[in-house]
Amino acid sequence: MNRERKNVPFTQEEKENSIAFILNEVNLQPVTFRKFLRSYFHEVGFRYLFWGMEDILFIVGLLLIGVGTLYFPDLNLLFKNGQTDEIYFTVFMASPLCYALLYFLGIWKERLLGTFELKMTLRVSLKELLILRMLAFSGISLVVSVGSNVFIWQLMSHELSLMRLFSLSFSSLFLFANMQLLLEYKIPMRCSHWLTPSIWGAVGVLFIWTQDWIAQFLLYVPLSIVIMIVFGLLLLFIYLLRHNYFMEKEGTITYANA
Amino acid sequence: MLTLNHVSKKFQSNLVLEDISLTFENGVYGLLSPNGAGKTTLLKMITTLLFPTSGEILWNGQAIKELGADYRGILGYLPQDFGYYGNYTPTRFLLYIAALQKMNKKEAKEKIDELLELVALSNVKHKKMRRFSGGMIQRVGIAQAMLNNPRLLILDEPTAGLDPKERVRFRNLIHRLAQDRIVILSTHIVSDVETIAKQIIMIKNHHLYCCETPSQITRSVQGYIFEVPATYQLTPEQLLLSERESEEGHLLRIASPFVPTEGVEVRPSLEDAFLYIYRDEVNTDAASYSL
Repeated sequence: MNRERKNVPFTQEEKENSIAFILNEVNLQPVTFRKFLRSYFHEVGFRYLFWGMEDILFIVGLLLIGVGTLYFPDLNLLFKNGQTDEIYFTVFMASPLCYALLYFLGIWKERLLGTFELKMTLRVSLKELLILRMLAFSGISLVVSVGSNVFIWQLMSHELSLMRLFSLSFSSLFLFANMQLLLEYKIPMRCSHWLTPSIWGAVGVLFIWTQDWIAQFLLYVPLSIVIMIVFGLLLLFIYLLRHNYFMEKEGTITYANA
Repeated sequence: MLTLNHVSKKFQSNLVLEDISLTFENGVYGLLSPNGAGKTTLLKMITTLLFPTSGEILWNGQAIKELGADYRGILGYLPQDFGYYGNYTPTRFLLYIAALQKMNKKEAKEKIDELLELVALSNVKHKKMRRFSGGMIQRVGIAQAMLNNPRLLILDEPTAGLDPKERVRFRNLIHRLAQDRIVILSTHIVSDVETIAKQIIMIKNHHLYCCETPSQITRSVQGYIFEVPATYQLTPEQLLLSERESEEGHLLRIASPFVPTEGVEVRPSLEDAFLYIYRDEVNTDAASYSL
């Protein structure tokens, strides 16, 4: 009797009711990017974002001071020669430097020390950590950009447009960050840490080669358009970070030679 | 329960593993194959570092890819080349790993002390790791893999760099831990798994060769293992497994499909079975040494 009862198949309606009941009981909630950010800062904390990166932060700080010390004395000369377009061009080209150095040196160190793969298997994986670091580095780079632009503006006796300096450096920063995220979307993780800066470097050389044309463009493009581009790129950056978070990518950096 | 269903992995056109199906329950599983057989690739797929080209890997019936962070939270992994921050102390490094495993800070601190005691590193817990020996680093690696009390512990060549005493201590520890979890231990050192493994997994020619108990594997070569005097001339069908000194003089341990003259049949060990099963690789290695 019992055996017969067990063999009675469910009707479609019964199946659907059972599924609906289970879904209702387990209170399923979709994973969202915002929830991921909130849970990281709530359960792990901001300070662990930079653990293992103390030396990188120090080196990048020193490099930026070095670059600034070498470059700032030339600014007056450029200004006196009426080459303000070159100043805007340099600001545009150099703005992603802080972000790029922090990001790529960080990955390079993880790879060099062999912590890359181990951290990829943790609950908060290195991939997630890199997304959070990109957010943090963009913030740090913005602060560095604001500081250096204000410094240049003061040095030039307020003769340059501070608003243009800001908008050019912010647009360049987010342009770089978006290009890097787009490249990483296509390039496997084991190659991206060297291939992406190489591609960006090649593009940079190309830009310097066509410097005159770009410098003129940066000087005369309406400010309102640059500001709109900045906001557009910022939104795209957030979107691509979110996309990167949900994207499934192999996390290994070494393949066995079979 | 961890299940691998018809898992294959290709790198471009290079086939590494094909149609691997396995089921893991609590206990130690020894992944025993020569170097280059695909052990690390298999472990990397189980740890989500690589995705199978075809097939699926399930944890309690759910695809590990879909479980994501929840799966990684029950996983403990010691990679073949364990990386660490040299300017960190073991305590600080483990604290960092615990944070990324979203462990409660107070519980993590207690667990770290307990684990450092277990791997005999309590006396150096505040020393920077850059001064540590290879064996000490490996013990930090073992501690970090056990930090989150994993349900699934993956150890890739875990005894590399450990001295014989540490190796025995480690084996006992793994055996104890495996009472209520799955431990998958990859090695090419037979003695690491001979006594503690519930089952031995062997991969040959990209396929699963066997997943059996050590005694079943040794039984498969029963009747083929002999000891002969050192003067004995081996035929092409016979395979030299090892040599040893005894009261009767220098003896050769060989695998032979027939009973050799002056040969005495001996009880096969897991190492004999391993060498016999991978005899093609053994012969290739021997040939390359003679060059």
